[in-house]
Order: sequence, then structure tokens, then C-alpha cells
Amino acid sequence: MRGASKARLGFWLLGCCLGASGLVAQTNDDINSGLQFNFSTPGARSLGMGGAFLALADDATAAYTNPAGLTNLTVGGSEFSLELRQWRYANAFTDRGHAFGPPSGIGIDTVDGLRTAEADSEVSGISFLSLGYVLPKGFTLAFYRHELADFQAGIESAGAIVGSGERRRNLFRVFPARSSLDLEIVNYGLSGAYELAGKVSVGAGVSFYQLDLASRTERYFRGEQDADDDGDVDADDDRLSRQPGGFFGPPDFLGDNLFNVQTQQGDDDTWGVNLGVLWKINPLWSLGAAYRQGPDFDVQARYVYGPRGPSPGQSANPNLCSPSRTRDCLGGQGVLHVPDVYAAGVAWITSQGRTKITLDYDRVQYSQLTDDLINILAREAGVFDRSQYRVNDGNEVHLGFEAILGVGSQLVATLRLGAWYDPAHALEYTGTDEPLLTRFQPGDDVVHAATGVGLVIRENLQVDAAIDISDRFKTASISLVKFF
Amino acid sequence: MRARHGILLLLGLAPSWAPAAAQDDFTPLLKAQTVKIAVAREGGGTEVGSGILLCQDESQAYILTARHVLFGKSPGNIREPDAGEVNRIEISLFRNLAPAIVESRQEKVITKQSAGKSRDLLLLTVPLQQVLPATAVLSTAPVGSEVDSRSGERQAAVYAVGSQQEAGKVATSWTLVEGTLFRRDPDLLYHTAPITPGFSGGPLFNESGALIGINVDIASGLEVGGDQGVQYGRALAIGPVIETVNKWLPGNCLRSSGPVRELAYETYRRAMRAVSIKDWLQAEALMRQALQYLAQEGGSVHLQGMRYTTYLPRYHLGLALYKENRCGDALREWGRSEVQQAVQDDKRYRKLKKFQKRCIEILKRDIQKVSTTAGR
Repeated sequence: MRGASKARLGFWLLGCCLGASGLVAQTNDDINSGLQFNFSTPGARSLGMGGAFLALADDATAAYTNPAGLTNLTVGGSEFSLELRQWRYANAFTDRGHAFGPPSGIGIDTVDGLRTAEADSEVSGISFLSLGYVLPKGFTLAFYRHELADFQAGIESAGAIVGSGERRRNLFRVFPARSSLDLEIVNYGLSGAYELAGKVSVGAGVSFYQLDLASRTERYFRGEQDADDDGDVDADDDRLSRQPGGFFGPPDFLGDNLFNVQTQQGDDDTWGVNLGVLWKINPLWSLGAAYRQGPDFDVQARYVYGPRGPSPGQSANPNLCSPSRTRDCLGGQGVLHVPDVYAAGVAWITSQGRTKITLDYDRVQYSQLTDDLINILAREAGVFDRSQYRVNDGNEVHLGFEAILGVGSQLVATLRLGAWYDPAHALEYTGTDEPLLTRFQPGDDVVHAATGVGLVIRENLQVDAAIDISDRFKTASISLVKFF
Repeated sequence: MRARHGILLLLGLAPSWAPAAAQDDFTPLLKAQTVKIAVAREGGGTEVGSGILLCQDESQAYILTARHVLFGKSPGNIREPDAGEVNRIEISLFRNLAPAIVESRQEKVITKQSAGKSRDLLLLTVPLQQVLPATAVLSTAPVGSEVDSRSGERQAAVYAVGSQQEAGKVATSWTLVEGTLFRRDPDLLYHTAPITPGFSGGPLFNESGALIGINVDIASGLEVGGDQGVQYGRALAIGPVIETVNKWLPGNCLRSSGPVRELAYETYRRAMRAVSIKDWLQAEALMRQALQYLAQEGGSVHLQGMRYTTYLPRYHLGLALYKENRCGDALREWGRSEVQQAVQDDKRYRKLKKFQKRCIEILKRDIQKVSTTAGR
């Protein structure tokens, strides 16, 4: 599952216009890039099955995915698990080009239509650590640490141009920008489960979430079309504006050309809950459902002019935004909302667990992202209208397959396949401001394919490996489970 | 094995595990799969035979028996069916699990009779609404566990269920007799279980309770190369039997006819849950239940997720008894488990040996206490 932060932050974090699904933007900065929250369910086994795990939930990763599934451990016994993951992101963002009119043919303004660029980033680490423990009377507990989100991004945009070239004075060029983002949300959780009569299990968990967020967007000055500032746009201006840092010139990323900086800092912790139910209708069929509450974090945003700005070290607007003040303000305090998730799934399991087919549906409330969006764009300070920004809720569909290739007293071997539909959930601008329309474009729907293998060695140790691939994201995972 | 005997003799425990599993474990289950077929003929008198419940669907049961049970046979060859000779057929189930099925000249009840041309087989399709507790589990491989003292070869224990009909005596139905497999031909099995004519058409089980043949005849030792003066049971081996009857059965009948193993595994799964949560009383009860379904240890049971475990109900029954401080009973079950030789290949065997040692120490102390008290 994938979440997003509901950012009420009002400014955007980095990078706009990452068309990629999975984006989570918090503010309306000129480069509001999508935060690709890592909300897939933990576990290499689950990953190899396309994240379709709700109605199986038969290992300790259920502690997060569907805590009711922890009752499965009462059959197999306690276990310790460790998962390592590597995420590779290709962040797509609007880099250059000309929209809402033909290019002028001057300098860099020769590209008809917007062009996106991709910036790769890679993060790896221990993504899940758990101890599932079976208590007398059929209660089961699990302690775990889960990387709910681990994301790094760095992008550089030359700045697109918008408007009609016939009336060149009406052209606008987005400020070239460099952005970086480092986001980590760690979840320390305790979940418990109990099997009721009728083969129905219920589970609940409480999580202590920690946020560590740091982002910085640097926008660099670019000149106006009237480069000589003589009140007219003529051939001299065209020549001058082709220079680096000019309106039609390549970006000038030198320090003294820094126009303004937006930063976002978050160092907060909070609590959340997750609930689950698992109904084993019969040996062949089971149903699962879960609710995962996304945590809300306080985040601080700042806007400061750089050396090339009109008042270096100062903000364009001294009023700070807050969830209750959204107009005539810039930067301030926002709230990063990780979306809540409602999920349901069904699993079909053949005799002796040889084959499993699972199907999950996740409703991810990405719209919570814009609930308290705050402004970080100077051009929007007086007119900011939150309702012009939206992220649609996501309807994810996960399909998984697991086949036991062989069962021996020493070894059990498994092959897994999966796929899932990841709907677009980029921050989208729905107003009429053309520069903003170029920055906040709707994202793309993405289909992920996944596969994995697993081995159980002498009933003692389980090793799983999986990979999940889509156009822009690749996740590789390996996990170890020690049975007691 | 020798060590185990020594231990049990030391403790004065009867080695009651020895004659394999069936006798005290799943006899009722085997009998529940067996039917008694009483046939009244025109010439007077009633003959009794047996049959096996092969499978069941929503409204019918499929009973396999020997063709001669209904149609009789003359020495040396099988006669063609002559329904005109039969006045009445009564098919009874063990402990009246369902009302007897009675067909007479006036009332036709048996839906269909399918008889083999070359093999002495007859499949009866009969109406039956009740869901039966068990139908046959098929196996082509007898399971061996006993070693012949003379030849040193492994002898497979077998069990036959049928009606014991001795001359001048009232027939005793659903009698279970045991023996060992003497000879195995491609189509026929010869065994030492002391069957009588009332066993005709009845089942021959291996020690796991799986159907391995249909008893059709009694052969002399001379005929089969055995001891002179000894009679041997002759059974049609299940492989060729199924080749013959499969075409008479509904498509999924035999596939669905083996719930016993599934039941055993499901029960074992629940029992393992009880072990996991240390509910030893429940574990004991469920392990015993699993043994009722399937006494033979070994094979992999799916627990959950990717976790499989070896089917070891006797070992775990012993463990539950040990946890209940019933060391004597625990040792007996562990002994039985070792006899089946599945636990030796499992990681739990080390625990078994450890617990065995502890139990022996405990029992030694107990015996010493009793001796001391008695000496005062």
C-alpha cells in the first residue's frame, strides 16, 4: 500500500510535477515533487505477491498489514523476521519546454510542449524487523519496526516557458530550481490478535511513528524578456536574454544567483492505530480486512529570499501560514498527513497450502494530502486557494499468486508472482494559472509486476527474495524468518 | 529398538504398540467404511458378504464388492450375472450409520450395478442421503513396519474387515482380522489375515488404514507357495481394481474419496496449535483424534504460510502426556513413534530422546519411592 502524507503543509516540498504515481506533495512550491511514500506491505513474501496479503496474513508481517493474521502464528509458533529492502526511484518532473503557446525559437525556447526529466535515487536499509510471539490461551503479540516511508529525491529543473510567443511580453518562465528531499517515517508497533469462535480472528495494533523530514528547494533567478529594462522587447533583449540566467538562456545555478529558498523541516512523532479481521471461511477460502490510520506530523516550512532576491534573508510575506490561516501568508506550520487506508482481500488456498491466489483492494485516502495544504509560493501568497489543489483517493488492486514447488523434510521451495495497479496520485492544480498548471500535472497510473522465491530450510529458517518493478520504481527485498 | 524394549521392560510397561496401529486406533473408522451385504437366493438360505464404501456424492454412495457376492460363483470360473436367482439384497452400514438399503424383487432400490467381465468385481450405486463419516482412502503401496523373524524381511501388516461366518455359528459382522502381506503379484495380494467367506468383497487395508485390495477368495498354502495347511486370503490389488471401476464412477468421486488424510492433517494442524499455545489437554485429545484418522507418521503437513511440518501425532501425543506428568504413557507413545521411524528423520528426535531420558529418571524415582514405602 502506498500512502502519502496528507500534507497540510502548505507548501510543497520538492519537486513539482513528478508525474509519477505515489507522489505526495505537501506544498505548492514551484517544484513540488512527489514524495514516493513507501507504503507497500512489509515482507519479501508479500512483495513477491504484488502486496496482496490481507487475507493470508500468515506471517509476522501481518502485524502491520492485517494484525488479525497474527493468529496464524499459533499454528506455526513464534518467529523472528528481518527484511532488507532497496528502493530505486526515477522521479519524473517537468524540466523544460513550452506550454500554452508555440515556442518563440529564441535561445532555449525551441521545444514545443513540456518535457519531463527523470532523476534517479536509491535508498536501502532494514525495512522490517519483528518478533511474533505466541502466548498461552491463543493470544498472539508482535513487536516490530517498520520503515513506513524511506525516500530521497534530488531534481533539477531548467524551467518551462508558458504563454503565446506572438505576444512575447506575456511569456512566463518558471524559475530554474534545484530540490532535494530526504524523508523517513519509522513505525515502532505492537500488535495483538485473538481468534474468536467461528474461525474469525481480530487484531489491533498501536504504532509510534517518527518523522524525519528535510527538504530544500532553491530557485534561481532568470532575467525578464525585457533584458535591458528599457520598456520594450526588441532584438537587443533577445540577444541578452539568451545568456545564462537570461529569460531564454540556460539556467544559472551559481550561488549568487539564488533567488529564493523553500525549506521544509519535520522532526515529530505521533501515534496511530491499525485494525484487522481475518475470516477463514473454510480451508479453501479466507477473507481479510484492515484499517491503517496514517499518522499526522507537524512540519515547518520557510520561504527566504536568496542573494539575488529583492530582500535577501527575508520572506516575501511576513505572515506565516497555519492550518487556520491559508491566505495572505507564506510558509509557516503545516501538518503532514499520511493517508489512511481501508483494505479488503480474499484468498483462495488449495489443499495443503500448495497454491494460493490472493486479491486485495486498498482504498488509499490520498485526498487527505490537501486537507491542510499551505502556501509556499510567493506568487500565490495573496490568492492561494487550497481547493484548486487536489489529489484523488487511490483505488489500488493487488493480485498475488504463490505456488509451492516442492515440499521435503529439509526444504520447501516456493515461487511467487504478483501485479498491482497503482493509480495516479500526484498533486494536481486545477486552477487557471498557467505556470502552476505546468508544475502540477496529473500523474500517471502505474502497473507494477512482482515476482519472488522462498525457501524454508529444515523447518527452522525461511528465506524470501522478491522484486517489484514498474516504469519508475523498483523495489528489491530479501527477508529472513527464524522459527522457534 | 532394543533399547526401547529394555526401557519398557525396566518400567514394567506392556509393549502394547507392537501390532501396529489399527487394532485400538482406527478400527471403528475402518469398519465404518465397510458394509455387510446379505443376499437371499431363490433356492433358500442367505449368504453374507462384504463391501467397501468407495465414495459418496450428494445423493448416492458407491459400494465396491466382489461380483460373486451377488451372483455366486462356481469353482474355477465366474458365472454370468443371473439376477433372477436373487430374491433380496440387504446392505447394512456399521452401527446403522444409515438405514439399511434393501432391494427385493418387488422394490428395486439399487440404482445401478456395474460388473467386471474379467475381474470379480461389482460396483453398486445406491441411494444414500446421510453423509458418511468416512469412505475409502486408496493406496497402492502397503506400508511395512514389521520384520519377519525368520526371513528378516519386512512384512507389511494388513487388516481385513468383514463378516465372520463359521460353520454352525451366527455370523459376526464387521470383524477386523489382522495379518501380514505374504505375497504381492501384479493383480493379486496374498495375506495371512484369517478371513472367512463372509469377508468376500470386503476391504483389505494397510496399517495406515488405506484400502489396498478387495478380498475375493481363500487360497491354500500349496497354491501360493506358502506353508502347507495354512490358508491365505486372496485379494484383488487396488491398482487393477481401480482401473476396472474408475469408468463406472463419477469423475471426481475417487478424488473426493480421501477425506481421511485431509481430516487427519486438519486435526493435526489444530493439535499443533494447541501444542503451540501449550494447551496440553487439548493437544492430547486432538493428537488422539488425528491418530484415529491416520496412524502412520510421516509426510508433510501444511501448518500456515510456508510452514510445513512432519506428521508426528504419536510424538506430540507423547509430548502432551509428558507435559501432563504422565511419563509412562508418554514413553509408550514415543516408543510407538520410533517404531514408525518417521520421527528419527525429524529435528524433534533429539527432544524425544531428551524427554525420554527425563521420563525414565522420573519413573525410576517413582518406583524407588514406592519400593521404599512398601519396604517400611
